[in-house]
Amino acid sequence: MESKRVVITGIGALSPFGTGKDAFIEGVRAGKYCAEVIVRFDTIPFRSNQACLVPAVELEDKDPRLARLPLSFKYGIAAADEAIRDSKLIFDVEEKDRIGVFYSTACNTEQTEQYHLGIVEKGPSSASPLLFQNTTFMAGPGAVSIKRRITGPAIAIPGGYASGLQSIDVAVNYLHQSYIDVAIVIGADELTRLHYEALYRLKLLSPRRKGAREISRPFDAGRDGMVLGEGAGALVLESLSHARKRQAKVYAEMVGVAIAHDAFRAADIAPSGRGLATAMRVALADAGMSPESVEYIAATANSTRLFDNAEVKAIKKVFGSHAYRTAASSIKSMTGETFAASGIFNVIACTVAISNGFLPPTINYEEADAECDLDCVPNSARAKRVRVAMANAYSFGGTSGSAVLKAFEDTEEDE
Amino acid sequence: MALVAAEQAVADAGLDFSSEDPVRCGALLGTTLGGMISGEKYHRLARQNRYRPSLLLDFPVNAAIDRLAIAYNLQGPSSVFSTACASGAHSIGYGFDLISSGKADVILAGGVDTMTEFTQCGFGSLQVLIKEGEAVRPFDKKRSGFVLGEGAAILILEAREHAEKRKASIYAEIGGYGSTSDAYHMTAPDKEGKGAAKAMLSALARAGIPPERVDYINAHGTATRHNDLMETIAIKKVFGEHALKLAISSTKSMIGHTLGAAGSIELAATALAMKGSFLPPTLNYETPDPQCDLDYVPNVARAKTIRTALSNSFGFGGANVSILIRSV
Repeated sequence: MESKRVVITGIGALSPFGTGKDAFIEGVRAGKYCAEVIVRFDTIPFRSNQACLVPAVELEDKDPRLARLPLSFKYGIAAADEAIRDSKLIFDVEEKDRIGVFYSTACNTEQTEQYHLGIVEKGPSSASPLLFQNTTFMAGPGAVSIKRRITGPAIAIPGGYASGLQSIDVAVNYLHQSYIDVAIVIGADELTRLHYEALYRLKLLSPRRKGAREISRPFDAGRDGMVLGEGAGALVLESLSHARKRQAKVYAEMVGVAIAHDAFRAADIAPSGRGLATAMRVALADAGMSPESVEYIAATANSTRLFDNAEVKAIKKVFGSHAYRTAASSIKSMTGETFAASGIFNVIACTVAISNGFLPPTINYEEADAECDLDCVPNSARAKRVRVAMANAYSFGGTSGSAVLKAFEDTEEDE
Repeated sequence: MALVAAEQAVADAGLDFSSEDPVRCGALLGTTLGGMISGEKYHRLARQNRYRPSLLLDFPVNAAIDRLAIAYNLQGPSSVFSTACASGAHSIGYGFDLISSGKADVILAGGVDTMTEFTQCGFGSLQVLIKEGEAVRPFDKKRSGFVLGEGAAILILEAREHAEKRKASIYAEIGGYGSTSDAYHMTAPDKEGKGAAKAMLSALARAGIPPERVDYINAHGTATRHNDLMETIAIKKVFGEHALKLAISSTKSMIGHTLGAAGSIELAATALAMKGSFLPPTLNYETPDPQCDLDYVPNVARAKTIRTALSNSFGFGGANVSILIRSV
């Protein structure tokens, strides 16, 4: 089946850099490090205490039902609102059954944990129907579809850290199948105490050094674990024919996307990076592009030995000697590990490389690691405009995703 | 549970994954909770200052799918769908998309949910569960809600040519599916059933099948007042006079509401009914409801050749899925 062309026409971001896609782009350009001491929850029991948190969230809609939603869903709704505004879609004239909502989260929310702990500690009578409906993964996509009266598919695609790209994958396939003309894709997570505690107890976080900042330093020889983040990214994807009809501004074309699994070991990833290599290879084949055409990779490296090494191996496997000629930086050096949002943030980083004319840097980079010897755009953004870029995501458990983006060229070819 | 269901499905299909290209094989799973039961254990131990981080490894919603991928070396697409009670149906629908667009050869698709205090208390608080001594009676005038169930169903989906080449026994062919939203309310269905009707119409349109050809509908049929009335209205809207001729039944009258697994268990039931030429019954049906006046196959199964059937799944947040299957 010949694929329809799919383009990105709207971007929204609520990130540790602040509210809005402009804050994201400027933060990435400046190479701003976002970690700070956590005040949201008690970190006294742990030997680390920092994370990259979203400074504030304000919803444009003052509906009290939305005000009661968990932070994570507020982030997602705010990012979706921005992406929709940015796309200049006019909902009054759109066929609302031709729009879909695809929404990823990787972590349970604080409200889910409260609800859960309430039952464990106080028994069944403590269960509140309002809290319960906020615990379902459908609370996010449900709220977006209800608010906008979207009657096409609204689907929650929860998963691990790669779930942002899983949502993009489903959305792109729905567009290719002509089920819909427009997809609103969201990846959102809030950092909760339980999630922090879990990763801390699994010894995956960068430990605190007296008085010093905990540092996210992907690819650096001194990297010693993740610094966690949070936030939401949102994209409006649409079929080119629909975008053209309404003369929408196009950021980039989504030419290929793939999800793969490394089938290695539970709660682990294959050190060879074979799952991510498969995702990159299949995404390139889907795009009909050669590895040599890729000039920038928004890497998923999160400052752990395991992930960063696996990704570098995967890139070398797919790109061969071209691995040393393409740039591969990790914005998690600035935002920390942002879970479901990270896949969307990496796609936004690719649109920056394609349409804003610079490559996002890997900051906090001090000491070269022989195992991670690719060009990671160390420490400061590099002026460069690329034609083809790739966004990666890799999750514990072995799911990985890869998307290929291309500068938009408005040729007549449509279907 | 998902692993056991997968083991049975793989054996039933006679599949040998060592002769498949692993990158062309994948797994899709619908669930509302994932490994919530592990999380409950973690919380209980943590209250006594006993921390077992290993319990958290099976807590994430994607943990079950990782275990499936590892067990069968499935290196292709994998995703979790969580559209509440429509989850299992969404995963099968997406498996159909991946195969029909040539992106995969074999997909293990289904749903799983385990019984937890989490959901029991939650649905209790929404007052949709029946009280002690009552029965689950979908479409009955005296219906008062459902009981929760648990379980898993995994279906092996493959391209028809792929199945024929390896001389597999085929249960049914998926003709298409519809996926819509009510955009109405988080926990209540749209009373007019517009989204549900649209999902059935889309499934029919994508399969290129006129409504009159449908013999059987495996209903969402939760036995709540709202759902069953809404579903009946939606079926009448889609099928017109033919609504009185086709058979409808609710598997939930027998096994309760298995949440994220329901869509896949009920599609499996539909395929088995097709293969066995019978209409599954709606149990506990005693008092007809004048507002729900269709043929719900009351209480006993009936022999009948089914050529075309729909399986409906509607969920929280207004997600509606209808999958069409036909005999081969």
